[in-house]
Amino acid sequence: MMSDTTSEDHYEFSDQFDDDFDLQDPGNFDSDNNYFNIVNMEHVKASERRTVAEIADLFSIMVPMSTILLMAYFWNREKLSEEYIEGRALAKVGLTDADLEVQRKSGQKVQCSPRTCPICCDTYTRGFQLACKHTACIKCYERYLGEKLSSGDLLSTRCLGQHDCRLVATLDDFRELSKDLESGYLEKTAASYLQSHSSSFKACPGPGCTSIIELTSSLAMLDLDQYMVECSCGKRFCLGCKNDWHLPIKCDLASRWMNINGERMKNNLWLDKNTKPCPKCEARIERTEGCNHMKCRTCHFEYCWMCMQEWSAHNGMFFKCVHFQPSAEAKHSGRATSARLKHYSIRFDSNIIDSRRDVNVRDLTFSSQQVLNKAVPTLSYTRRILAWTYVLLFYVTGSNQKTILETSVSDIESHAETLAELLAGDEQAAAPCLELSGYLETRVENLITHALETNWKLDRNSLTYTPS
Amino acid sequence: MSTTARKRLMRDFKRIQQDPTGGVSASPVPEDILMWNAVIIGPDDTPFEDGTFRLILKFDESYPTKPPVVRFLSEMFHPNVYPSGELCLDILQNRWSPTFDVSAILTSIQSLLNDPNTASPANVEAANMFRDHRSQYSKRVRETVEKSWL
Repeated sequence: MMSDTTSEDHYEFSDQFDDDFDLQDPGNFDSDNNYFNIVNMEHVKASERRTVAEIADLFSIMVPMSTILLMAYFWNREKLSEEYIEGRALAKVGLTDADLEVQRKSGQKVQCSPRTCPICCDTYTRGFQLACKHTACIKCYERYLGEKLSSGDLLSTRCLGQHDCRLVATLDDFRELSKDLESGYLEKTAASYLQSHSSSFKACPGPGCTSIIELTSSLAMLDLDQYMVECSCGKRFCLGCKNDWHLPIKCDLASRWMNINGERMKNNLWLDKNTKPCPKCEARIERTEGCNHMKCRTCHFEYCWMCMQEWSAHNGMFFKCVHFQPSAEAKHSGRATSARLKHYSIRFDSNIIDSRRDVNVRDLTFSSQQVLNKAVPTLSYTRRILAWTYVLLFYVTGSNQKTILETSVSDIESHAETLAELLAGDEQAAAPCLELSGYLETRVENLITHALETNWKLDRNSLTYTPS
Repeated sequence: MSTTARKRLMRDFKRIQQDPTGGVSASPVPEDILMWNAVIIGPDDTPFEDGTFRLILKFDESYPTKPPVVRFLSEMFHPNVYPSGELCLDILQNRWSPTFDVSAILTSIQSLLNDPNTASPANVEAANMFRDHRSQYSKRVRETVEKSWL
């Protein structure tokens, strides 16, 4: 159940939320649903092209100009249409009706007798001109438009040939110049489209993942901060804040918590995060497996990893361990909030680490695939929910509802403990494992519902707490 | 060393000498073509009239792809000029185009003097005074005009 601290490998806390454990039956992550589809960038581009074509049709303008106008209006079709009819839209991109007629033609490369480029002052014979026919050297055009692409500014790509010319280089001109410029332009317009439709498209934050979660209209209307998705790359995240999932609490509390708790974790050394001294003999102990029942190898003291009290004091009940009881001294000093934070953050960290550690249980000898597929993910899931429930307990003030929540947490903690012990044990007791998993699933779902549906009163001191 | 930036600045210099624009003048410092001194004369029929406002323009090798950094050396009282002398002008930021040269930059700044953009003030006091107490504003500007002669 434990080992002495000898491990060299460093535990990176910043990665701790990038867990990739499997969950077979996570109600909330069900991808077979009506709420969202996992799509790729091509799908987004197709949707963009449809929008561009509609506007081009509506006002009988060229597709590239339609793209520029839509970008200038952050892809708000209604506003663009309204202002286009009122004759105000073109001015927004610095053009007039006459310019629009000229812009119908695309620019072209030209071969000419040697002349001096107005931009770089070199002599050139290969030039480029927009439909206005003001020429500059082709190198300057390529550099200039490349620069505009990397800064993402596609609305002021003006003619280089003459300083008071208003013409704008459009997709057609980028295409005339080079394939690279054309594809760069298409990437940028798609990115602009995606950004302006952030309520219906959520780019997966998974490392290297290019998938996009497209929300159906029924979900786009809801409070997204209770919806967690799983991308095809395995990344799980919250639709509201795109951070790692944090049920049963909502984005604002989760982000407050990460602000104070993230700071604290960064400041601690690996030793402090992963080991604790034995409460009796102070030998440094690292726990490598998932159960809280510790027995010191040095002095044989048995205690609880979370509350560091003698194990038998739990008496099979975890309520005292879950509940925060300020010391008489802390109650009357200004340190009460900081003591509360410590109490809950130890429990948060502990469960987060376990949710990840429990996955490794599959290395053990359990032969029953069913157990591995069900009990292990359930245990991980349970730990994670418990971790974030401790965050909720930190932020809410005392009430009957809080006591009910604490009782649930205590019960779930104790059953999760039992399951962890069974999984870590030598006896392959498949039936009790499955039974416990089923029980935990139900309890956890009820806990989530309770946490989300209760109108919690938040503790002012916790909300305003900043670590010194 | 003949880089694009230096070549262009030489052409800008020739152009501003051969074809001087009314009320602005500029030249590189003797030992560094990337550093220019400039003077803008306050436009007639404005509170800035007859002021000789000195500026410094700092270019780097990215010119004319990127604009220079422009700063007033003379004390200014203007809604779009920061106390440090730096100024807030769209063509020196997001609306920059490589087609602008030194003379175009200075002409734009000159026309900004009497046509401030109060929507994004760099000097809030000047912006409020310009809007609400125009005569008081003119008086403050006149003070800077007199200081510009010293």
